[in-house]
Amino acid sequence: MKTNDPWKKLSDATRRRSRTPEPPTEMPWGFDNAVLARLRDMRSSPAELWLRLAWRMVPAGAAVFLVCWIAVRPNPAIGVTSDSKELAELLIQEVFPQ
Amino acid sequence: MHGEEAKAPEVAADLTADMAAWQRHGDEPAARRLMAALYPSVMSIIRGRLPRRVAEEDLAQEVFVRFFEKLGSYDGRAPLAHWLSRIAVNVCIDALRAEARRPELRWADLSEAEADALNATVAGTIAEAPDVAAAGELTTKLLDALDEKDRMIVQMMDLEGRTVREVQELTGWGESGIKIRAFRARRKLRKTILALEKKR
Repeated sequence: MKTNDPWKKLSDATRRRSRTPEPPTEMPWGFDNAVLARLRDMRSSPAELWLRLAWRMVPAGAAVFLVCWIAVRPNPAIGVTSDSKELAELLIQEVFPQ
Repeated sequence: MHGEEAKAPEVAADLTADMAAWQRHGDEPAARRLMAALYPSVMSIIRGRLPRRVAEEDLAQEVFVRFFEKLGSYDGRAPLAHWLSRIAVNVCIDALRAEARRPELRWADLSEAEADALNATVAGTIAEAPDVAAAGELTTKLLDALDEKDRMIVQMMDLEGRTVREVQELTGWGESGIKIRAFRARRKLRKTILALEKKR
């Protein structure tokens, strides 16, 4: 049957004259390992994932702790100031007049 | 191309033990046997439906990952080859969608040979045109401008000669949806060809 449909003519010509290459019959080397590795990653339980994440966070946590500790630890060099000493003496004199 | 459907039940019977072994305790040797047996079927489905910038091996890996992930939901009602092909078709559609490049095809986008093929198409002499590769390239460029599902349907029906029923089995989509999409896609392809010819 004659048709004026240009797409039909083009698709018929393409189908008749070009052939899809035959698919390979064997997997390429390492293909199955790659698939299984992806499946293993996906099958890891959430608990394992959390544990792995927590373990990775240990160095970062330790660094943060160290910085905080250095920032807030009591400095022995900063003792009682002369002002506060003087104030204390005045207070003692006031309470226990000689 | 159509051989895998006929073989489907015996393939399923051969591989049932391996499928059960994988599902029960993640038996990797069983998974390797399944992949070795199903690899040619997967490749026959994805070859020819491949997005331009995706390696077929990457797509095949994705098909098997989804296959093993979903194996628990396989109830044996459809032949294994059909079930696998639906996964493969969906993987191809996702890859085509990820490319998501559907620009309007212009005359300037065509090579000289493709332009000749287009002229021959409109003139009705494409069946005798000497450059087969150019007709194939032109067809691919026209299909690139379609929606992913429309492209898959037109490719199966018009380029591989499959029936609506076969497309239904391979994709799992409804019959009327396939017919409507095929009709719309062909109309769009016709319009594109004629518009290209007018604008040259």
